[in-house]
Amino acid sequence: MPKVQLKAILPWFKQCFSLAFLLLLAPSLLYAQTNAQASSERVVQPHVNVQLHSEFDTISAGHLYTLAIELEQEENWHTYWINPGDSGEATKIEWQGPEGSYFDGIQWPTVNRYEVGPLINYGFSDTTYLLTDFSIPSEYNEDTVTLTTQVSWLVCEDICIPGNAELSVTLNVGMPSISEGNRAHFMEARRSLPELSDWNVQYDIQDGQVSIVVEDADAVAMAQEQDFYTFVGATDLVEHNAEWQVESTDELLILRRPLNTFNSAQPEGFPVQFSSSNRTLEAYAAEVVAPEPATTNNSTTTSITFVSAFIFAFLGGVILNLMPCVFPVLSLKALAMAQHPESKVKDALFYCLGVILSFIFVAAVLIALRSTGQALGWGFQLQNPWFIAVLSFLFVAIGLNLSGVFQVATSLMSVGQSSTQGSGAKQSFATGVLAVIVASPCTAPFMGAALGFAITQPVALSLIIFFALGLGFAFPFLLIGLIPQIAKVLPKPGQWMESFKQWMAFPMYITTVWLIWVFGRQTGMDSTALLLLSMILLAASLWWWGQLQQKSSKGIWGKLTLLLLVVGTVFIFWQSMIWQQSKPATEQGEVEGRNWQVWSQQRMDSLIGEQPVFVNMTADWCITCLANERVALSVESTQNLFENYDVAYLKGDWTMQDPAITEYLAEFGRNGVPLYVLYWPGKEPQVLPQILSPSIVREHIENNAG
Amino acid sequence: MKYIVKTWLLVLITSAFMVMSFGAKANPEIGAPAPNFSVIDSHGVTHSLSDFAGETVVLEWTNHDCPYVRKHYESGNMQSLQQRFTEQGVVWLSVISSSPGTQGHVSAEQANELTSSRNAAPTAVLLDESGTMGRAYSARVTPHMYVIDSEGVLQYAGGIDSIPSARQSDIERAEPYFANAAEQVLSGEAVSRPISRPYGCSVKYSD
Repeated sequence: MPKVQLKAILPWFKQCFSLAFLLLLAPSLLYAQTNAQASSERVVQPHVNVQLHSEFDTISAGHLYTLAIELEQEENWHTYWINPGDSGEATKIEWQGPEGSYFDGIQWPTVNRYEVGPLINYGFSDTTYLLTDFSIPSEYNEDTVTLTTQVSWLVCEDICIPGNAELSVTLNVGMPSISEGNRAHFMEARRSLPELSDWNVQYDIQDGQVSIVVEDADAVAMAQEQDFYTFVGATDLVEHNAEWQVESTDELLILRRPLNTFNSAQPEGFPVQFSSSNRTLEAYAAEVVAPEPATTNNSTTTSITFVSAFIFAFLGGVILNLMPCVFPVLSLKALAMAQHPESKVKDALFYCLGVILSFIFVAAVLIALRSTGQALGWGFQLQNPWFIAVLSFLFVAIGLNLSGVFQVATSLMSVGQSSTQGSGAKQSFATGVLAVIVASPCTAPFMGAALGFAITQPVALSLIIFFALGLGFAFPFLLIGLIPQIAKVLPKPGQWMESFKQWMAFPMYITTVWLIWVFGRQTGMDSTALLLLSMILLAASLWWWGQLQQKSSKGIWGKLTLLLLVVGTVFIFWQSMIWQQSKPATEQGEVEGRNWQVWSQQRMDSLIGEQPVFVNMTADWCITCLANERVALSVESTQNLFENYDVAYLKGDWTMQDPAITEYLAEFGRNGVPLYVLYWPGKEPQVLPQILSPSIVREHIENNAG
Repeated sequence: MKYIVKTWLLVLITSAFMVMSFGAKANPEIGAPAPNFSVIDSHGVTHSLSDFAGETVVLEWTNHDCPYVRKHYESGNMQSLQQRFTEQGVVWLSVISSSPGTQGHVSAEQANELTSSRNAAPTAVLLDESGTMGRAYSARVTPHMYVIDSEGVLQYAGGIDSIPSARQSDIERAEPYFANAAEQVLSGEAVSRPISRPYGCSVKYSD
């Protein structure tokens, strides 16, 4: 069609179109009342009538609306919940709508319990509504939409009849308008829904018992209400024809029931309905998941640790180059390379190799030392207060060194500087090795920090850390060797290097604060105060040593003072440790209402010969443990029982996977908590069940006492 | 005196508790000897588990009017299972634990008539109208399936297959838990899924 003509008819077309639009729209507006079918036909089946209702007769695309399936059951007949109980079958609903439609799950109403001989069923009688939220896709552009459902159910009295029906509604699409005719249905439907709660509900299976723990004061209060009952929305989890064992404390409601005889799966979670004569609440119970032990070599976590450790160690190595005794060497080396441009790449590579091998050598020495130490029984873990205290000393010393209070082996520097000149593969390698030694007065603090970290890590990680440190340290040389232009960009050595070094002292002090905090949590305030005191003496010793370093002649008094300070440091350090070991005993009497002591192998060994000992291995994330403690161990009757029979109660906390406890658990063939062991003088240790009650504890103790 | 009373009270309570817990724990256990029974069949013969020493025994709780049982009989699935396993020397016992006057309760003649009209092929149909055997096995639904190996050890307890529905079309799609377990027991393998959720109508016990 020619352009002119099109232009001419366009205004006319526009007018025509709007007219047509109006004409089209008007009938559809009129039809809105008649065309929509917000309720399906009512399907009559044996003992149940079924109908589908929509809350709105006109809906908008892309928004959520609600549909209801009405099941009108004959008196004494019922259909089933998501968990039908010992027999029966949950009502199933399948939806069909335009492509891209969304249909949510069934919003189950408050459930009832039916006893069928020795069997239990859960479901709904009389008239029940099953609500489902849905939306049609936002790009849906037709005037009406039809939604179809396939409902299948089992309706039972004593006998059962399965049924199914296909139901559909047709709704207008446009300005949403509520269906007046269905208003009553939806009011009724919503009245019978349980209230949704945000209670923290967890569940756990131990020894054929299911424990459900609700952490909420309101739940505890609700358990006191008349006809309190808990409905578990998982098919074969709990035994249906069994009583709930309900126990509670201020904040914790503990429900226990035997595991279902035909249980074959442990669900990740399930809905739970808590009902009393006053109200019904629904919450979601999640399976308790014990955190991964910190020490296991989980492949994903280790690869993350490996990568981050590598990056940090590499950056650390690069930073080493900025230290006052390294940077001038770097400049010199850069200069030397500029003079022998022909062999610079080879030079750089061999230098790099020398540096890295030296670092790895340090790591090898460390690993050897560590394994010797472990053979001697030293634990290089952060759970060990001894180790923490020594580390904190190391970091204070490093910090003071960086601050310039004292120097380490300054004489080495002059030796090194002369041998760094020259070239050739062998010499470059030697230069690399020497650079590490030469730089040691400045790098020692950093190396110390790296050593401190690496000693707590597995062998592979230690090696990687040192490899990365070496690579980082050699990196600028490597870069200069490969791209000589970089040498020109290097800043000139100067006073800034000293300031930089002194700045670096502060991260060390911060690390010390963290270590002291860890130490304090492990040992208490008194030990921490003593540790701080000995740390001040350490600072004084180092300062005095620094003073002596500057004097040309060191008088006998000067040396004697240093000796006194060192002895004082060591003595008070020792005191802080002795204090720590006797701490739990002192605390025991002080903490009101606490009848237990902290478990340690030594404490247990020393008590076993003298009196009965009850060991409880627990963890904060173990709800069975917490439940047992609340229900069976911290109750007055058990406290009295322990007192009467002079039972020492030791509690080990495995929350952080303390390796000493891991080892203890392994002795009993366990790799998790809870574990309860009773030691009676002259008898073999006895393991108690994982689910405790006051009577189980009493039985065990009284049997032993004879 | 007071002490004696107290002790007796304790003993009483403890024994009551033990009896109760025994009652609750009467559940069959996989890997443990299956509960014995002594029940009369539709031909008047009394069968005990001990009679079948050395033979693999299948127990099928049934109620011919239950829609879930009908699903498996009207489709021919149950009969073919009965044939398949009895041909391999398995003792197949169909057990009816419906109490008199409830759904599924039948006379001996009716039971035999059902067997012939449905072409069923069990070794015997046990009439457990008191529900004693059903309770001993904690049979809860019809059909509820059990497999006992030749040493009398319970090896499988649970549903007939994996899809709990009364629709015949689901049989083909379902994982045949029971048949798999029975085959594994016959070939001397460990049963990969020894327990599953039984589905169906409740067994019509007298209260």
